[in-house]
Order: sequence, then structure tokens, then C-alpha cells
Amino acid sequence: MNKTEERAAFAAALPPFFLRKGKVEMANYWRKTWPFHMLLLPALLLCIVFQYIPLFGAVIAFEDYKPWLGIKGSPWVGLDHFKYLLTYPDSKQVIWNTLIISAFKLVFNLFVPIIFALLLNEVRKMVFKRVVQTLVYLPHFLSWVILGGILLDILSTEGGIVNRVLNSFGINSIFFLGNGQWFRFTVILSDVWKEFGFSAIIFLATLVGINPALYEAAEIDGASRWQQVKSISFPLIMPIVIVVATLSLGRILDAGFDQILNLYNPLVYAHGDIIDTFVYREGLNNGQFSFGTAVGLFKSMIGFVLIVISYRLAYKLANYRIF
Amino acid sequence: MNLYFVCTAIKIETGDNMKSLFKVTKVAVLSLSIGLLPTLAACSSNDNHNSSGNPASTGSSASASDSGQAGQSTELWNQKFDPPVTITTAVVDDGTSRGNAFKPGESMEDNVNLRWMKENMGINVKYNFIVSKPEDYDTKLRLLLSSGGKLPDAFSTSGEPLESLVASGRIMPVDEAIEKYAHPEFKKLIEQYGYTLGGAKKDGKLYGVPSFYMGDEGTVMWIRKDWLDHLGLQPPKTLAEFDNVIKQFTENDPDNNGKDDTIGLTAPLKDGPFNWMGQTDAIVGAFTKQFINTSWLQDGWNKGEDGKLSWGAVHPDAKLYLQTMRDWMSKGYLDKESGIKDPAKSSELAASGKAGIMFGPAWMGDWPLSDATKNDPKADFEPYPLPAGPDGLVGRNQKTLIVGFTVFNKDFQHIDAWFAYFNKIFAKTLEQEGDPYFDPRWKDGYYEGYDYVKYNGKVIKGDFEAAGVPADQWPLKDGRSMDMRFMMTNILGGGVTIPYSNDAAIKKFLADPNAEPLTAREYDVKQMKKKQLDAHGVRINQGITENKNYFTGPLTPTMKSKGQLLQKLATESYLKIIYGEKPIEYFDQFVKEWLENGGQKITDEVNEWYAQNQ
Repeated sequence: MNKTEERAAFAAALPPFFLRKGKVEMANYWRKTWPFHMLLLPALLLCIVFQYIPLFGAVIAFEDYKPWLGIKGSPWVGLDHFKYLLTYPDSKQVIWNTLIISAFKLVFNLFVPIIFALLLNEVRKMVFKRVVQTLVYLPHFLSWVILGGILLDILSTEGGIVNRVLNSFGINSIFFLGNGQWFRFTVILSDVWKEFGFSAIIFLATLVGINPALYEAAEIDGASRWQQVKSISFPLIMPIVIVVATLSLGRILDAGFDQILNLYNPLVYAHGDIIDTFVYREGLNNGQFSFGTAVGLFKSMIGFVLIVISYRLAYKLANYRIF
Repeated sequence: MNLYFVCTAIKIETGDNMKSLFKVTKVAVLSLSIGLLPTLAACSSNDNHNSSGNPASTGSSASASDSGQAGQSTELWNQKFDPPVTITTAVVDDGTSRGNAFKPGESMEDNVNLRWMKENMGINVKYNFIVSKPEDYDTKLRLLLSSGGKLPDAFSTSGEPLESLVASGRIMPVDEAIEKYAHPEFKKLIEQYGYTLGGAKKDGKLYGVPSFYMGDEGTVMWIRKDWLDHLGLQPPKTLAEFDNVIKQFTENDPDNNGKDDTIGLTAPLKDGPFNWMGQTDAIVGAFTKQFINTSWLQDGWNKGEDGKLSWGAVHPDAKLYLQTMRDWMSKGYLDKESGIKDPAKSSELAASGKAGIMFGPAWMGDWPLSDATKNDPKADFEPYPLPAGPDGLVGRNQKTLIVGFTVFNKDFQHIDAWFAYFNKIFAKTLEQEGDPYFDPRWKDGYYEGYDYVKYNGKVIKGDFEAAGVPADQWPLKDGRSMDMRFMMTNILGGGVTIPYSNDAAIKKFLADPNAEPLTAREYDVKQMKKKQLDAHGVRINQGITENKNYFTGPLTPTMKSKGQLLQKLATESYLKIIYGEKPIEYFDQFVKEWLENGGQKITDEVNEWYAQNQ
């Protein structure tokens, strides 16, 4: 099969609305491709059964759900759970903590991987590149339960390695996990450390996919490495950066449940307690299904609004459509 | 088969050209849909088998109820149900952590005890579900509740699912059944520990048969004896002496390594003063009779002189405890990181030879404290009696005595059969002379070749190799003894334990370490490490009246809506005071805040519950 044939076959397989064809072609298209659609059906069915139908369960956010009464039988309470979430004496503090920790994480988890990917992309020695890449994304696969224990040890004020290094520079030991401000710093830094290698993969893949002809042309024109990065690499990974940033905005109210749960303690409640840990304690106490659902719904709502806004912005400012 | 063929076909064909690919896909879709049909049919017919299985079993048990009584044997230990009775139940079993529970080829659903029960008692045990995690078990129960599915006849539950089950009205009250069928000694237990049964009570009726904890681990004081000896100190008998010991441990280099790297006391304070290990309830107990706990609102309700309940953590006496801990923290006697550590983490300081004292259960002599010898072969943690306060007060908290409850489907017809088995196991646990419930067939143990073997006319229950039993007679190939609990507790849920029932056996072996174990209980106790036995001795000999928690009811409405906030407030305030971030006077402000934010309401609700259910 030669190149032209291949392209023709590809064009035939594309949905007609991409090509703006007429009715006859449309019918033709369906006749040819209906088996593919049939193959898609099971996946679609699974998606409907396990993703869309359960959405209706969200109505328990507006009920005082009791398992033995069922969704239909439980009493209706309207917006009580949402009111409770917003008027609880702790809520302000908890939402504020969530936003601060999450916003910092969002920014650093976006820029550190980009910078790292750009730097690693400049490395010419393949072996070194591979080794570094493997090493930095390894922490991603460790769970916070394990890392929590490790961090407790290395950040210990009594003989923890970090404080020993600080001491050797004449700095007093810092109680990283017991001091509110330092706690936030520790949480953000350790999360970035854990995730930046893994998040960099997508940027690295994009960088590798850039047509080398562009760099060659730039080199002939006498562009320096920095100019190449600035004018070729950066603009070309921008779409992916926007996608990643937009999608992570949707999770702005997730400040990292596993991490905080494994690291926080009463000494840092004031600076480290987030929505998810609050809901966890609440749920653990009482099995409050409705309240948990209400909080989940609340978070999704905020996330949805933010995604829509950032999508509009991306289109308006960068003229880029994600979906 | 079909699918595999189709897939390979596509793979081969794609190599060719696009047109034939379309053809193949069409064939694929057709054969897929055809191929799926039998599978779907198989699934649904499978379902039918399952659902038809249940009515059949209930049918047989229903018919059994008509004639069951007539066919019963008269002797209490030899009840046999004819026609046989089927009891359905459910269990958590991850299949791995129970190492030596079954012989190869046997399982939870098929083992010697189930066969024995069927043959000798006419009881068939069926598992409605076996799940590998406790969370899955609770989820399963919630699903059965919300879907209106059939609950097992007898099953164990606790916490929130128990609360839902009791409220749902789909399990039966058991007061009458206990009165009618239960072992008299068990009735006495129910009476003695009645104050712990609130979790399964509604309108004054009991909705489950409790499973008890041994409750005897107590709190003892573990001290590095080698450090005491090195510094020429005596074990502290009072809090003042204790203060001196932790001072010396912190400042005088007890491990003699020339470095200032030791502290006196390690204690996890992340969850407040009370915990499962490393708890400082003994320090509280030296000042007051209050049960203090900050991280769990259902625990720590003390009975005042007026008969009213109040939460220990807001009692003014707590200030004395806080003042002491704060003092130790500021002087560095107490682990500076106590506030961020849980019990296991906190114990690492003791196990690594950095801390000289840790409070905790009697079993700590083995894990985690025996690890200390890894760093220093001379390390020697010994158990000591708790120190007395300025007024001579000594105290500790009583551990939770309730594991959970076995509850019964309200349609269950054969609670008599359940009790027949329960009483048998209970009598075996009790091992009382002349007990009419005691099954003589279980005199030596449960099953020969399982938990015991007979060799040279002697009953041998463990260390088979040392006893000279030939390898082919060992219950398990590796010579270990079997853990019978898993197969014996099938329908009994949390199992049968009698609180504090090891004490007599402990005393016996303390008096004579080489005494011959006569009962299964004595055999178990003899398995304890010497330090654990010593620690139990310390606990028994000190004879402390433990501080009790009097509220065991379900969460009150305000606990549900405000409990989390109040627990957080309490634990946070305690730590702030201990760490010196807030002055000791802050305690009064905390109490005020606590009461205003729902604490007062909760106290009222708790007292209301207590008035109804005491």
C-alpha cells in the first residue's frame, strides 16, 4: 500500500463532519464504518452504566441519607449539607488552607516539570538522560504512607538528616512538621519533589515530537540554544501546558488528601487541615454519606466552573481549543 | 475462544489492505455478539443458581423449626438438631494473614469443624459472603441494608454499620434468647459488663450478643533497667521520683556514649493522652480519677458524684496533667516531636535506645521494646508499677471491652441452634468443672491432629518436635501448631473471650514458671514471653481500679454535627498547652469554647441517654 492509498483510506475513515461531505457520502460513510461504531458500543455502555448512572446517586447530597431507607425513602433536606459545610466554624480555615496549598502546588507542579523537561531535553548524552529521568520519576510510585514515615525521619528535629545539615551551617533545627508555616512549605515541596519527574514525561514526549527540521533551520540561521528554546520549544509545548494547567485547575480543591493525612497532626491543624481531611474525619466519625457527597459535589462544581473559565481564557488568549 | 480467534483474524488481516479490514470487522462484530450470548446466558443462569440456593436453605431451616425441638437431645452439651438447621453468616478473611489456620485443602467453608458441626450438632454453616477486608465487609452490609437484600442469619458487626442495623429494625432483640438459651456464666458477664453494651441497645432492648476483649493489657511503665542501674537510680514509685528519673535520663547520658542524645519519656500525643500504646493515662491517673481522652468523643465519659456523666478532657483536673507534661516538654524530658507521632512511631525512640521510659500495654515487652537489644545487647526494658501522684493517687484507663456484637436477622428461626454452638465454645473457653455445657468430646482440645496430637498417651498441643512427635503426625508439615480461632468462630462473629480471664493462669505461671499447663488457657498463657508475663504480674499486683467510660451509646445528634470540631479543638488545645504555645490558663478558655460550640449540648444528650440506658 503506497502513501496516497494510505491517505485516502485514512480520509475515508474520518467522520464526515470533519470533511463536510454531503448526504450521500454520509450514508456511504456509515455503511462502511458501522462495525467500528458497534465495537465502540460496549465501552460506551460501560461508561454509561458505571459513570453516568451513578451520577444520579448524587441526589443524596440533598437528602439525609440512611442506608436502610434507601435513596427514595430518605428524607429530603435541600441545601442543608451545603449550608453546614459553609457555616461550620472550621470551614473558612479549612477552605483557605486547601486553596493556598493547592494553588502553590498547581503553580510549582506546572513550572518545575516544564523547566526540568526543557533542561533534560538539552542533554545530549542518552544514557545520562535516561538514568536521570528514571530516577526522578521513581518517587511518584511510592505511596504517601511510606513517604510519610520517611519524611518524619529525615525531617526529625532529633537527628534527622535535613536538620543535621542545617545545624552544620549554624542554623537552628526547624520543626518542619510541627510548625504551621513550615508545614505548608514541606507539604508543597515534598509533593513537587514526588511528582515533578512524572509530570515531566508529557512535556518531554511533546519536546521529542517537535520536528528536528525546525531546530536545524534555526541553527542555520544562527540561533543560539537559548533562542531555540525560546522560539521553538516553548511555543510548541504551549498547547500541552495549557491543557495540563486547565485540567489541574479542575482539581483546585484537591490539595492532596493522602499526603496531608499522613503528615499532618494537631500542631498544624490551623495551617494544614484541608477539606478532604476534614471530610475524612467527619465521615470516619459518623458515616455521613450525604455530607460526603455534598462536599464532593461542591468540589466538582467549583472545579467545573474553573475548567470552563480557563477553557474560555485559553481560547481567547492563546487561541487554543482543548476539546 | 471466539474472541481470541476474531482478534487474531483482525491482526493478520490488517497487514493486507483496508477493504478487507472492513469485512473482517463486520465478521468480528457478528461473531462477537453471537459469542457474547452464551456468556451472558451463563451469567444469568449462574445468578439463578445463587438466588435459588438461598430460598432452598431458608426453606429447610423453616421446616426444621417445626420439628427441631422434638428431635433435640436432652443433654445440654449434646444438642443435635434433626432435621439439620442451616445458619448463614459472613466473615472477613483475607486468606493470608491467618497463616496456620487451616490444613492444606481445607478452608473457611470446608473444614473439620464444619463437618463436625454438621454431623454431631445438625448445624450447617453457609457463608453468604467472604470478603478480604473489613471495609468491604461494612460496604457489603450497607449495600444489603440499602438494597433490602437478605441479611445473613448471624453475623458480627460494630461501629456505624451496627448503629444502622439497630436503627433499621431488621435485626432482632436478643434479651429473651439470652435469658432462655445462654450459658449462665455468660449471663453473669452480660450483667457485670452491662455498662459496655450501649452500642447495641435501642429502647432498652439489646440487639446483639457482645464479643468481649480480654481487656487485661492494662498500662504498665516500661523502664530501661540498665539505665537505672548505670545511674544508680531506683525505679520511681511516685511522680516526684519519676520526674527525677526522666531528668537524669535526659541529662546524665544513661547510655554512656558521651553524647547528649537521650530523653526520658517518649509518648505519642498526636491523638491526645490516651492511645493503644505509649498512652499517658498513668500520668493523668496520678492526678485524678478522670478518664481523659481528647480524640474520640464517645470515649472518656466519667460518672460524677451526682451520677451525671461528664467528659474527662474538660474536667479542671486535666490542668494538673497538662502543667506536668508542659513542664517536661519545656525541659526536654519529653520527646519534642510527641505531637506529630502516632504510637508506633513514638515507640521507635524507645526501641532505638534513645528514650528510657514508655508507658503501654503488658505485651510491649516483646514488640516493640525487645528491638532495643538490637542496638544495644544490654538494653533491658522492664515493667514497673505506675507511679503515684502527690496525693497517692494511681490510675489508668480501662481498655475498650467490646469487640463488636453478633447480630441476628429478624427472620432467623434458630437462635437456639446458634446458642447451642456458642455455649459449647463458651464452656470450652471457661473450662469449669462440672459444667453441663462442656462437651466431653473436646476434653483434650478440639480435634486430634489439629490443635493437639496424642503421642505416647500424652496430649501434646505445641512444640511437637521438642516433644518427640514424629513428623508425619504433626498437624502442619512445618511443625507449627494450628490457630483454631478461624475455624471455631464461624457463626460466632467476634469470637468468645471472657474479660480478664487470663489472670488466674498468669498468677500460676508467675509463681512457678515451669508449672504444667492443664487447660487450653493455661497453655496459651505459658506461650507468653517472660517480660509479658512479668508485666501482667505488675498489673495484677498493683490492683488499680481502672477509670471507666460510661457512655457506650450511638453517636448523639450533636456529636454527629459538631463532634469532629470538638475533638479537633480538644486535641489541638492540649498540644498547644503542652508545647507552651498557649499559657496553662488557656485551658479555661478552651473549656468555655468547647461547651459553647456544642459540648454542653452533647453532655446533656449523653446524660439523657445514660438515664434511659444505664
